[in-house]
Formats: sequence, structure tokens, C-alpha cells
Amino acid sequence: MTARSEFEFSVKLSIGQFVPGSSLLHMLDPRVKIVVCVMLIVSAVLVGRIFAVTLLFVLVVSVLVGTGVGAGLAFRALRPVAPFLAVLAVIQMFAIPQLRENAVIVWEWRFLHMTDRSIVSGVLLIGRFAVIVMALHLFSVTTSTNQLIHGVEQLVRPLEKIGVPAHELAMVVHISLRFLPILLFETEKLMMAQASRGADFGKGRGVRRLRRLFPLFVPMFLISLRHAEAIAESMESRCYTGGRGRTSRLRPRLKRADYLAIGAFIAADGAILAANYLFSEAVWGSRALCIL
Amino acid sequence: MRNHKDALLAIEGVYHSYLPGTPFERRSLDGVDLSVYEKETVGIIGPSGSGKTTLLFHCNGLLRPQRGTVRAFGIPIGEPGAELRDIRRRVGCVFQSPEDQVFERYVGDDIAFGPRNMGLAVETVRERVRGALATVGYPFSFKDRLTSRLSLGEKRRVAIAGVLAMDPRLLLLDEPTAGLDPEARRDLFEIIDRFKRRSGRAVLMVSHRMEEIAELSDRIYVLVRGRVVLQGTARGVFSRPDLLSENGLSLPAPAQTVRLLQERGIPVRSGACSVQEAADTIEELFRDRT
Repeated sequence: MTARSEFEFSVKLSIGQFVPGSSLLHMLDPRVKIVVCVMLIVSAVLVGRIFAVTLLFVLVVSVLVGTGVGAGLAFRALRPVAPFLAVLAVIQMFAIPQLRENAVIVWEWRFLHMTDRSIVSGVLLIGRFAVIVMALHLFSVTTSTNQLIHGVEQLVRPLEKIGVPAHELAMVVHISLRFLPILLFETEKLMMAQASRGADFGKGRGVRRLRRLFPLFVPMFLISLRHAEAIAESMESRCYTGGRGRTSRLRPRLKRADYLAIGAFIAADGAILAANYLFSEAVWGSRALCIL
Repeated sequence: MRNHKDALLAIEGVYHSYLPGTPFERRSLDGVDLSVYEKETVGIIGPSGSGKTTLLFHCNGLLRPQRGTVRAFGIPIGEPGAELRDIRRRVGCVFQSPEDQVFERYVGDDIAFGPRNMGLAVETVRERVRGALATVGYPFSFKDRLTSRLSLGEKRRVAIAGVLAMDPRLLLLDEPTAGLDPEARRDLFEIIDRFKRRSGRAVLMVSHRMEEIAELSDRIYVLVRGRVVLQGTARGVFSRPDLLSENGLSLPAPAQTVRLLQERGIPVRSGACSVQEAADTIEELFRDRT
């Protein structure tokens, strides 16, 4: 029987981290993936029927499986959020009074009412979140930071005409993303050093626990400043002046596969959205089916 | 052979991988055995990424063994209920570049962080700070200096004093001399020496500077890719230059000098690890001639 160390944050960091690979999704242009990801999230929010959300979920999973990423990796992303989803779903089922109007009560106990509509909304909530989490995961696992930055920059570039600094924006995103693991690692190191000197991060709660974090702030602040200074210096020493007139070694161009992929995706996603709106009560006739 | 039960620190068959269960899983310790006894200075050498620091973190429970056992002062660190604060009080750990971790405004407060966490009385804390400052070679009045005004070498000494103030019996040092100039390095050796002069104290230090490991250690472990490939006295370990160079390590400069002399046909006795010993063996040569 062994106990886990209390400091290995980096283990948790692995969720949503880029995994190098050679799947079709890895090969796709980052812009395509950004669009797909955003569309999935928007559709997940738009759809209001269980069958549609289920289809969206199937779509995400089949994209992951079909492109050789594997569903296992994707489901792993769901595991840490599962408890939150369960709690949210329960709240959704019981705590929203509007869902009691014009609904059939399925189960009742004192002040708790569960209606057909509240069950539907609970299931929808879980479905939506699952789709969103997996869409983000699908994107982040198959896209390196470099690709992400290029993708963002190219997507925003058309807006340069109206004064949006595309390159600078991408650079800001890049640096902040790059800094996250560094800061996490430094915090971990500091906490370990202070624990070596008798600080106890495990126990206590509330204010006491917060007070223990205080000794971390000052050194973390200094360390961040030092890293920032190093970056500024190294940018300057490479004559960085911003994006104007800068060419790129990697010049992603949309290939046929990219067009095919985005076309197929838009078709599938559009079909699900259309089905969601078309199959209204009028078409199905019966209320029981319409709930789906 | 000493009885294993007497070891201050006994590590047996410890495995560790970073990010287990992810595609980034990387094994860093692969079945390591190590022990430290009273009054000993034990050195760990190895190329970068060989798991030296990871191993050190296992010694006071900052990392828990994923497999194998670690016992410090008889307390098994791997057990879920292990009193880690108790262990950390007795096993002090000086991190790499410890000066980064100084956070209080005044030197004295920073050194007192450990003793205060132990819940000691104000007077005792004061004594601890005084003692720790003395060990690192500063007068008690140094406690009122601002930490932001210290040089790197001074800051590092203050950081070490912060660990010493907890009065550990086993001191872990991770690359303690990295980035120091020769004088500061000598000072540091003296600090280690003063620490060890008190009864029953032991030191476990990690370095990739062969010279200082050779000079300070009673016993040496050579760690390569998470495994102990060689262990023994400095003389024993550095008599295997083939094995060391195979693993990207070199001999300490004095031993290398002796070896070069031998290669040129000069019959110097091998086995010198420190500058002093090298000088002695070379002197021997002249004495034989005359």
C-alpha cells in the first residue's frame, strides 16, 4: 500500500495536453480544427433534443475514432469532470421551477419533484457538457501550441483591416499558454521546498489554508517577473518587432483533405441541427416521442 | 557490513515514473537501493536526467515511492499514514538554487520559517536562528539584513541556514555549489563540515561536479537512467573510468591527471581522487627516485 505525493500537479496538467501523433486529425489544418471545435460547441448549445445531443456525441466520438486518435483518450477527458456534471444534472432536475409547468410529474417526494421535462433538461445538460468537453479535448490533444497559434493568427488576419493586431494577439495567446506549465512547475517546486521546511499544505481549511499559500506569492511573483524579463530579452536579442513584414517557415495551406473534412463535418453537423429543429411536436405527433 | 537496521535512511527497490498512465509517462527511477548511515557523507553522481533529484525527493517524503520502500529514521515513507512533517524535521532538504525560495523581507524571518512551523517557543526559535547563522558563518546581527539586498552567494547561505535551523540529522543537498565562485564553494564545504561535526549528522548530496563529490563523500552512488550502476568509496568508484565514461561521466580532474600521467608511461600510483591525494602520489614518485 503506497500513498500518493501531495505535490504532483503536473499529473493533472496532462488533461487536454497535446499528444504527438500521426492521425488524420493531427494532419488537418489547425484552422479547420478550430472551426470544427467552435461549431461543435455552438451546436451543443443550440440543440434542444436528446436525440440531437446524442447524435452530436456520436459525431465527436466517431471523429476521434475515425481519425485514429482513439476514443479512450477522449473519454479520459470526461472522467475528471464527471462528478461536476452529475451534481449539475441533479440541480437541474430538481431546482428549476419552470420545468414543473406544463409537465408530467414522474416522481415526487415532499418538496422534490421530478418531471419529464426536468429529466430531459438534466440529460441534455450532461450531453451538452460531454460534447463540449470532448470537442475541446479533440482539438487540444491533436493540435500543438505552434499550430494553434498559426491557426488563430490566420483566422484573425482578415480582421487586421479593421485594426485588430492579429499577430500580436496570437503572440499573447502563445506566451500565456507557454507560461502555464512553467508557472505550475515553479509553484510545485516552491511548495515542495516550503513543505521541506515544515509548511503543511495538506491540512487545515479556509483562512488557515489560504494563509499557508501566502509565502508562495512573493517568490512566485519574483519568479514570474524573472521569466518575463528573460523572454523580453530574448525577443529583443532576436530583433523581434512584431508581426509586420514577418514571414513564416510553416505556411499551412488548406489541402484537399482539409476541405473534405470540413465539408463532411458541416454536412453532419448541419443535418443534426436541421433534424433538431424539424422534428417538432407537429411532426412526431405524440408527446412522448417529442421529448426525445 | 553495517546492519541495515541502523541506517538513517534506507531505500529499497524504489521505482518512480513521471505522469504515470499518460502518453508522457517517463520512468525516472528504476529499482534503486541506497542507504545512508550516521556520520556519513554520501554522494550521488549521474548525468543530467538520471533521476538524482527525483531520488532526493523520495528521502523526505516529497515524493512517495510508487514501488519499493523508503525508510527514514525507521519511519516508512510510503505508508499512507506516515508522519511526513516528522520526517521532514529530521531530514532537511536544500533544493537546487535554494536562493529562489527565500521569501521573507528579513533574513531572520526567513530562517525562522522552519522552526516557527515546528511550533517552537520564541526563545528557542531565536536560538535556532542564531545557531543556523553561526553554522553558515554569519554573526547573529545578519538576521536584520534585507533579503532583497543579498548577493546570490549570501542568499544561498541564508537559504541553507533556513534548513539548518530545523536542526535536521540528515541533510540533503541538491547541486549545492552550482553557480558559485570558487571562494563561495569553499565556504559551502566548510558549512557542510561544520554541520557534520555535530554528533550523528549525515549528509546526502547530489552533484555532477566529480571533484566535489570525490572530495567530500565517504561513499558514492553512480546513478544512470534511474539505476545505480556503481557504488562504493570514492577510490573504488573512480577506479572504473571505463564505466563512467560509458555513461557520460568523467573522472575528477585529479584522477584524470594521474591517469594521463600513467598513459604517458609515468608510474604514478592510481586511486587519487582529491587534489591533495594527487599531489601526494606525485610527490611519492619523486621521493622514490631520490
